[in-house]
Parts: sequence; C-alpha cells; structure tokens
Amino acid sequence: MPDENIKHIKMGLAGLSEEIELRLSLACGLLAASQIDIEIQDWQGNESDILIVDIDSGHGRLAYEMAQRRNLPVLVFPRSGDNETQYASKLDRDAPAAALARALQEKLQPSSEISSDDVQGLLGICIREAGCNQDLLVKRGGIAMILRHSAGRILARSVSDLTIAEARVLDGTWLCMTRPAKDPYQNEWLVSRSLDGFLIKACVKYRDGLPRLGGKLFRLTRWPDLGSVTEDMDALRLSALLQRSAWSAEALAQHTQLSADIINAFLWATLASGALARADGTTLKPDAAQAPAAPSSLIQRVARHFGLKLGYSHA
Amino acid sequence: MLDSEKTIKLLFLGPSGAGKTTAIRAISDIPPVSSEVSATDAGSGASVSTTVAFDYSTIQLNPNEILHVYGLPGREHLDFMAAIVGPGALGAVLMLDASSQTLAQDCRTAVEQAARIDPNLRFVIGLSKTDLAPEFSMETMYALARRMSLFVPIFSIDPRDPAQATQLVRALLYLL
Repeated sequence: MPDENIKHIKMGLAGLSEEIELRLSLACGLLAASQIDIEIQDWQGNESDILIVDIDSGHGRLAYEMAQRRNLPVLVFPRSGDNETQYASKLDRDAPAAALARALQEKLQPSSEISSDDVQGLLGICIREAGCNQDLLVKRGGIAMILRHSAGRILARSVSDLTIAEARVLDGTWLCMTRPAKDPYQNEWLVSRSLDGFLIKACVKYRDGLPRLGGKLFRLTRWPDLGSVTEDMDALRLSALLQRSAWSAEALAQHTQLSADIINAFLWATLASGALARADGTTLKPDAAQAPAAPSSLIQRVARHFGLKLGYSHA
Repeated sequence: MLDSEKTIKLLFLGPSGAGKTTAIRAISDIPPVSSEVSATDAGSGASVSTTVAFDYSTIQLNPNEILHVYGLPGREHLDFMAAIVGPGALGAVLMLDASSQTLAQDCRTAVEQAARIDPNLRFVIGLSKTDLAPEFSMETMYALARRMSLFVPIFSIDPRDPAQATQLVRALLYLL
C-alpha cells in the first residue's frame, strides 16, 4: 500500500554535466530519508514538478526561460565564475551531494519562517499543520470541524458552524487532534468548503488582531481557491499580483492603495492555507514589479459588467 | 452568420454534467438556448437533462454591446462546432465535475479542446460538485496542473450561484 506521506516529485534536468547529474542523483537519494521520492528525467518540455538547469549550456538557458514562462519552480547553476544575482534560487556547482540535498529540500519543502507561535487558534493550527496529509478534527466548544489541509478543504456539520468558526479563528481555545480512523460522525460532515476561502473570510474579519507581516517578500505558489470569496474583490486583485511576482506587504499597499490591514489579512490567510510562500530577495519597488499590460477598453467594459472596477488590474 | 472577428464571445468548455449550462444560466440575462435531451442519472436514477450539442446565451454589456456565451461539450464529434464559434473568444471557463471518477482525464480533454480552439486561449477552471465528493482533494488538481504546466485559477464553485459563477469570469478577466 503506498505511503501517503511520501512526496513524489518529477525533476527535469537541462544542460547539466554528467558529473553534476551524478551528484544530484546522490542528493535525491539522500532526500528519500525525508520522504521525498524524486524521479529524475532529462527535460525536453515534459511534465515536471521542478527543473534544475545549468545556465552555462544553451539547453539550460532555453529550459530556464520556459520554466519562467510556465511558472515552474527552477533551481539554477549560474555561469561559471560569474556572481549571478538575477536567479532567485541558485545551486553551487561545486557543492557536495549533501549540500545539494539541503538546497533541494528547502525548495521542495520550504521551511516557513512564519511561526505558528505568532498567531493562536485555528489560524495557528493551520500554519502548524501546513502540508499535513492527515485529516484533523478541530473543536471549540460545541463546534467541530474536519481540517483537510493538504486537500484544501474544511468540513463542518452546518454552514452556521463555519460562520461562527470564521469569527473565532484566533481564539486560543481551539483543540486539534487526528481524525479517528473510524469517525463516528462520518455522516455528519455535510458542509464542505474551500480552506482558502474560509481562511480569507476569517482573516479579513479578524484583521485588526493579526500581527504584521511587514518587510518580507511573498509570492503565491498557486492561485487560491476563491470560488466562494465572491464579495471580496481585493482577494482577486491581490492574487493576480502575487502570482505574477513577489511583493512585500508595504509595496502592495503602495501599489494598490488598499489598507495595510486588508493586505496583511490576505497574506496570513494564504500563508496558513499553503498558497503563499516566502520569496527570495529584497523588497521590490512598486514600479519594478512585473505589471500586466493595460487591458483593452473592450476587456474593461466586460470587467465593469462583472463588477470589477475600471482599471481593475492596476492601482 | 456571426462575424467571429467582431462578436464578443465567452466559452464554457468541459464534459457533460459538469455544470456548464447551469453556470451559463447563472450569469446570463436570458435563459440559455440549449440542445438538451433527457438522461438518467446513473447514481440516483433521477431524470436529468444533458446538453448534446451546445448552449447559447447573451449578456447585455451596455446598450450597444452584447457578450455572447457559448457552452461546448467536450465531444470530438462536435469539435466542428468549436471551430465555428471558438475563434476570437475572449477566453474560456473549463467546468469539471469534481465527483467524477475521470476528473484528471476530463481536465486533460478540456485543456486539449481549448488548445484546439486557440493555442493561446486563456482559461480558468471551475470545479463543481465538490460537496458530492467528501474525499475530493484540491491537491489532486494542483498536482495535475503543475504537471501540465498550467498556472491558472482553479476555483471550486456551485454553478447554481450567480456570484460564484461570476467569480470564475472575473478571474479569467485578470488573465487577459
């Protein structure tokens, strides 16, 4: 029976020498101890979870450009002798296998510097259990819910339980335990919701009580599931910006003119749901961020009909 | 005959029973004109309707402009219709049934259908019936999207809810 805790990764290699490939292969073997199972393949545009490229080679440079366009995670061996600073994630071509393994692990299982100690309650539980493959039973008073973090879902007995939980997300009285294998209440979890949506609504409600996430750069690793966040246009706008490039809370506030509390709440919610990650580098100036081209007037008219403001993608 | 260069079009793609007609109905000004036939739901035995060719509806953007909305089922023998109504579309919403045993294949088929219409067609993915699949995991979809090099919004929605169906279109507009 397959172990659900093992993370299976397809790793594409482009332009690497045989000697580096051998050390990478050893590094991948070491990661098996961390329950990361890596399948290495020569990358020719095929499906991969992460790419390793050598910028010294033409194939590596081409693969890097394609990875950037496709938003694929990529680790780069920069040009020999160069002090390249343009790559967010680099590998040392002389590093031993153990050091390569550490770098790979950090990329594949990034350690969050945001601690669950910074926030209490259900939000803290979500941050602490980020990536957890087990279903958790979370309880507070008469409310019980099933937290399926890696599945991005939260289950409750009723919509009103979810609404109450949203308003109590930072209360320190939440209890958390593994869902019993034979759940006696299995048939009672009738309401299934997006964890992203739940946390975004909850954090916006609790925005005054959240500590500041200032000074750090963040980027979305995926679009949050905003299907149920229908009354919050800010969440869509922030998602669109954060999936294109890395931003700090301060730069986002300056660019969008949204309140710092709203931005901070969105960052906490998506961090807790696993959609947001810390990014490398220093704070971007707003004008350095990768801004989208201005939408055409036709798109603007369609956007207006669907409730987006004129110039919706710009500050 | 519609002039595909001048007509403002929005497409809904995906397999039968994924909620395309329902979502179109939720966001449109008028009930969609659908070529539907009765079918029997294999699970419940209940009588349901399914679209065998396409849906069509409109949204009045302003006194002078109409957004034409088409729903196209992912059936190869009906691809000729996509070739007629697809070109020039603003983008597409791919509707998928999260409770389907063939969700991954349905997703691939819908993405391929979108690519056949226009390789540069922008799209978002809407997942319906997540409430009918207690074990459904978004991570399954995210992993599939990563492997297909898709970095598009994937929203779980109730296509009966106009606000949630609209949310998919809003996300699409951010991609254009």
